[in-house]
Amino acid sequence: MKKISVVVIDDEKVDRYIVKRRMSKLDVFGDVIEATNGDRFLDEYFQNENEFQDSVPPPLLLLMDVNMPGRNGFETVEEIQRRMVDGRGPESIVIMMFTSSGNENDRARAETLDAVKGYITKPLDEKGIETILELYEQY
Amino acid sequence: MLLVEKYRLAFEIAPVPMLLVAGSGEIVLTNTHLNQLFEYDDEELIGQRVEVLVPKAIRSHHPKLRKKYDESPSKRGMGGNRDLVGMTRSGTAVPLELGLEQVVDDSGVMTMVVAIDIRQRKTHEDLLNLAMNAAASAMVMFDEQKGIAFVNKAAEALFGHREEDLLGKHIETLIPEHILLKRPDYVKEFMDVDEPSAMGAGRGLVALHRNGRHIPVEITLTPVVSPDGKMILSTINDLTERIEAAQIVEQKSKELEALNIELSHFANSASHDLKAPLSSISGLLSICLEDLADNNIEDVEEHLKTILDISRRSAEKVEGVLKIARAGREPILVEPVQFEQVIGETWTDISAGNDKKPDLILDMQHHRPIHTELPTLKVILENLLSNAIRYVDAAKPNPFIRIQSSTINGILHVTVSDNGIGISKENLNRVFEMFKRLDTRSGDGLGLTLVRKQLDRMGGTVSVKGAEGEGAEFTFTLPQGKEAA
Repeated sequence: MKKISVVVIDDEKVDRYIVKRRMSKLDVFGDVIEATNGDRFLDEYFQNENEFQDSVPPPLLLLMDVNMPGRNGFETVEEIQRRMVDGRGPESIVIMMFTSSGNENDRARAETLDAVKGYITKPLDEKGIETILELYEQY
Repeated sequence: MLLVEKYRLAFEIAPVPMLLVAGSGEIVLTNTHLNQLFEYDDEELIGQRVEVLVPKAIRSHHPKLRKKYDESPSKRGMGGNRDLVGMTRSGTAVPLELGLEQVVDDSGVMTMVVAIDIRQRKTHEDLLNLAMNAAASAMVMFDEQKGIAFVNKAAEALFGHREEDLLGKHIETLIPEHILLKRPDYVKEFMDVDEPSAMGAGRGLVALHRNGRHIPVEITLTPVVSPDGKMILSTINDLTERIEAAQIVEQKSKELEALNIELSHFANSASHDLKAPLSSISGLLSICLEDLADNNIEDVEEHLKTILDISRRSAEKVEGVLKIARAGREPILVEPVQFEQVIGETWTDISAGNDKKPDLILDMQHHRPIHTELPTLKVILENLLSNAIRYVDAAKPNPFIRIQSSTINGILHVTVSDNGIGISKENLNRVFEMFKRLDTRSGDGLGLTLVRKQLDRMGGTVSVKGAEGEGAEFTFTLPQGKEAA
């Protein structure tokens, strides 16, 4: 089975570190790549005429923080979806919102975005890992 | 048979006071009712001139009036609206209503007079007027034939007219022209009511003040049918205060709505931003437990340091939020302040230890000293200046911050501008949002929120201009209450 590559998009260094530590213990996950906010992620992973880089082997999981400077998590997902429609994005992508907020509005907004497949509450713990793995079994 | 004899019997049977006066003015016949009314004995008035029954003030004038009547006699009622008064033997004035009719016989022309004592009616009228004048509501009585017949004190106050100026006038005097033009049958509708009815409730009815002002009113019409014809008593309530109160309530509810939005925005932001560090801490702590189990003390130590750092920053953030929540709760002294001195102190505090600090350029044109809350002014300056330092454009050779001031119409205007990295157009409106960090260099997203809240509270304003790459410009205003404009 292919390992799951993960990109964690979060401006909080500690939260990225927690994700890396949690996932490094499990064989099912491959490299954890960090992006410090949504704008950076879009810049770095859609370079060269915005073609999505092959550098990250599929299947790909994005853990997307909501509250970030610049484009917030939702706005970043919307931009990714736009680029996918234009044929510039990866073929398969699973995005999970990754936030400390239990806010109903945030959950509702996540529901409206096709590319968002789940919602994980910080900090990433065993339950969060289970949620991710269950989701992957469906694919 | 003499005329007098012919009438004597009729006079005695009649239930009202009557007398017969000869053309010379001599009284030739009276009845008992009349003698009693004027306090004379039987027959005592016979042969006396009718003027003995007339008040002294008009006694000399009276024969002329009689003569005039004799020249064009007609059956008529006297009195009515005019106050006719008779005088008794003891000098008491008695309000009267008189009926006159000329009768003729061989001995000449005589006048038959019916005199009705209207003292009781007068008393009733006076009591009624007293009651109507004591009423808080404005009351106007309209007579179908004679126009306005009565105006109470409250109505005089409401319309700005005196009663005597309104008596006999048309209703139209009290109704704005635009209503009469729009509804030509208005007055007819008004007079046609045959049962008590309310007008105007919720229909924007207005009355016309003497000075042209339109008064929102509510009117109740009560028809009064009297032997003299139909009258309408209108009771008019001024709705001005009620409408003003309703407007205040509406304004307040709008303010509350805005506050509610602000509060839910705050709760939303707080759930994001105050909870986030706690999530980080609990995540790190669970990793610490694992590291402890693996005896990895070095990592534990490092994580604990991070946790300590996060919790310190969180405490500061909470303090910042509390500052915003508290802003305006406690009154702060307004005092004369030397603005340049405050700028100097603030600049020293926030730029200390910064080798690459921008140049500070002052262009101060305000009236001195300014009057404001010193601690609040410091908070505002700290935030604006530290932002300007934070977003300095490293690519530009001569970074600067410029502070300009002026006093216009008693309002202090201060502009803090820089040639830093600037703000993109779409972000200009968002810089004041709580917890909004628009850049990785942003602080906790509270500073400008606090600045705006403090300025709002002091009756000032704050606005921002700027473009990406071209620097930012914040302008705030502060009313200078103590200074003449």
